[in-house]
Amino acid sequence: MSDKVSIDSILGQINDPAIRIMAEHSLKTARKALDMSDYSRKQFVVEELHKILPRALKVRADNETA
Amino acid sequence: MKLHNIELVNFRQFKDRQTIDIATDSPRNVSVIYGENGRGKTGIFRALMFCLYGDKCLSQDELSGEQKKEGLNLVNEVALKENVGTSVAAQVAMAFSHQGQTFRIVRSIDALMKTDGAIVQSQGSRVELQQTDVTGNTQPIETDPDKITALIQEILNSRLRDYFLFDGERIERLTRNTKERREEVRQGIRALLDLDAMELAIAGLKSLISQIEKEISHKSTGELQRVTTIIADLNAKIEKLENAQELGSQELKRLVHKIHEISELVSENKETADKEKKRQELLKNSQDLKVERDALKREMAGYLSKGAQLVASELIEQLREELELRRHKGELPPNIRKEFVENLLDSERCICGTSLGHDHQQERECLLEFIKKHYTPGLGPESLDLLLSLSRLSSANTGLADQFNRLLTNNKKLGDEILELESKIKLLSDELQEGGTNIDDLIQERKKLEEDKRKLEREMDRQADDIVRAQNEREDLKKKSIVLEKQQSQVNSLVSRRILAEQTLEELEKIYNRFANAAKEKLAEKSTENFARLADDETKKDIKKISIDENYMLDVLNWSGQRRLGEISAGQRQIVSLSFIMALIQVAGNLEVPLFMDTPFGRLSGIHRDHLLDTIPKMASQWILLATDTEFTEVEAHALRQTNAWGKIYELVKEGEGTTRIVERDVHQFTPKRKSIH
Repeated sequence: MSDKVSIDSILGQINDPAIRIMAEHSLKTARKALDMSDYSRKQFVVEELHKILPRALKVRADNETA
Repeated sequence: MKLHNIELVNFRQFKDRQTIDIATDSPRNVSVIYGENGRGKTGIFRALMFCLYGDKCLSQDELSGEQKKEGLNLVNEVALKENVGTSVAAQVAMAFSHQGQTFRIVRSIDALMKTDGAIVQSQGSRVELQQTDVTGNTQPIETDPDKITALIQEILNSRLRDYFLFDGERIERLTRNTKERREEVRQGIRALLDLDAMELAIAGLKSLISQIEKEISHKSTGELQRVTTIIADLNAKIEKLENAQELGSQELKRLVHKIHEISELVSENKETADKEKKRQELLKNSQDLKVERDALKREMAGYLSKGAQLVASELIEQLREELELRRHKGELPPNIRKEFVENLLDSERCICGTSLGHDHQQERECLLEFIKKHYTPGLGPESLDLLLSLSRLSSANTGLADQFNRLLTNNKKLGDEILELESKIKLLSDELQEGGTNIDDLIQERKKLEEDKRKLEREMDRQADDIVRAQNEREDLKKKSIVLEKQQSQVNSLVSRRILAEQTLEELEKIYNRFANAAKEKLAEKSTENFARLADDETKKDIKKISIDENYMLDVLNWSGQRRLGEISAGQRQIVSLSFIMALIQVAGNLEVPLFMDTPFGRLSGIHRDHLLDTIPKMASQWILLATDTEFTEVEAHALRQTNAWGKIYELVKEGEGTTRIVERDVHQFTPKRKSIH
């Protein structure tokens, strides 16, 4: 680990592309949601994850076919 | 992000338009804002926070909840006074570069002074974001406040705002061993390293999995439906418990904060606290005396039955003496019954065997004389019984009066003492009430809060156990459901979603744990390295390592690995804090922001100051040093000049009531007012 520690770089190293998409997206939306109220932030993350799931699954399916 | 300049118009003490250019060119990245207390050094940082985020107060401002909501008046009061009845705007513009682009953000707020002198400030502010192109032209690119906020958030997240400015007191506070400080360090690490975002992402994924499982439960049949329904119920239960835990944590924080506030209130007024302590002592003494008096009263009650006897004791004694005298004279029958003596005469033999027959006439005569003398009519045998009873009573009465007197005296003494104590207690209570703070109420409230806190902690422990039990049960059921799911194709799509979400969750949790531990280790390592640069040789002999434990608590270890934070001096603690702050900035990496330090030299010795002046410019991208004349003397100026990092110096000069002028000085020729206070 260099002096600068970044979660993004670690997430970028996840081998499975579907998991990587999900992980990166969940962190991105969580960062946005941190500025929201305590009550709505988690719901916002869940909604965003629901949206990204089909794309991640498609990447997984394409990958498996390939 | 690199800060280029700040332009202030009628902002706080800074009347009219005034500008500060910040030193940007490495290695000359240090700007000094120099001024005596009250000139507006912190106002420069305040201007920055207002410009970026619209903040009308800082976290360190000691304001009540309502005042924080309202915020401070940001418009220069002299300008307001010159324009009574007319709206005056305070404006802050800040030019900065980020990822190769140059921006300028301009924010303003209006206020008006009424004829009675009252100041009314508008709630909101106006903001505009401008961009400077390669030719140097600056054009507005955004005026929508929400969009500007979003853009600024991406450049410099507002959650990190508290980590751009460290004043001397806050620097020292970071290493204090209290729950609040630990929380501050923990929050700092979590926010700067994005751990809080990771935690939210993990929580979101858990919720997502719960929702998918609920859907699977609706769409499945038979045994799978039964199992998935139980899993969904367990999910709901776990989520409910986790939410309750979250709310509990918040409530716990509130309680701890409130208890702390009350304790501060109770202890901040030493005189009041001393009085309260004295009052509590007196209350306890009074209570002890009352207990003692109650015991005395119970003892006295035991003597009540003997009261009549005591009242008649004198008469009893007189009668006893009279009867005793008469017995002495032989007027009372002896203890031997008359029939007994007569029987001896009839049987003509004494109990000792001596004959009492007619051949022993002398002995017979003696007994006959005895009967004649003692059993004559007059006082009968009853008088003898009376004498015996009176003798017993008289003997029992001996000392009774003395004892009773002693009890009565003690009772009176205790009563007087209690009265005196109560009078003193009343006096102290009145004084405390007049002081406006009812300490007793505060202490009672704190006691109640502490009890609430204990109850809540017990409840939260119980919830945590329930969560673990439910999670274990759910894991067992999940294994079973996987087998069953394979048999039901209609839920396959949902199962694929759930599997991906679960895999992501597993991966994120793994990364989070690894990252959090690595970050803590890295922070400890960098803090120790920084400490080695900042501390003098003597301090380095005492402290060998800075550690950050699993609870994000800072500590220092001596040569033998023993924790020693509580034993080091305030100056050494300040060095430890500064080492940690620098480590945070180094490890966070993406935090290339100007570091403001307000009066950071307070408790530092000369060598520590020199090391700080030499080291921080090499670590921070920009260092803005807010210093008083007593902190920044010729010695510090000389040391900073030697580093070759000193780019700008501004002096804050008081012009008149409520007005400060920002005057740029030449770093090569600037002479601080004081030579040195060391």
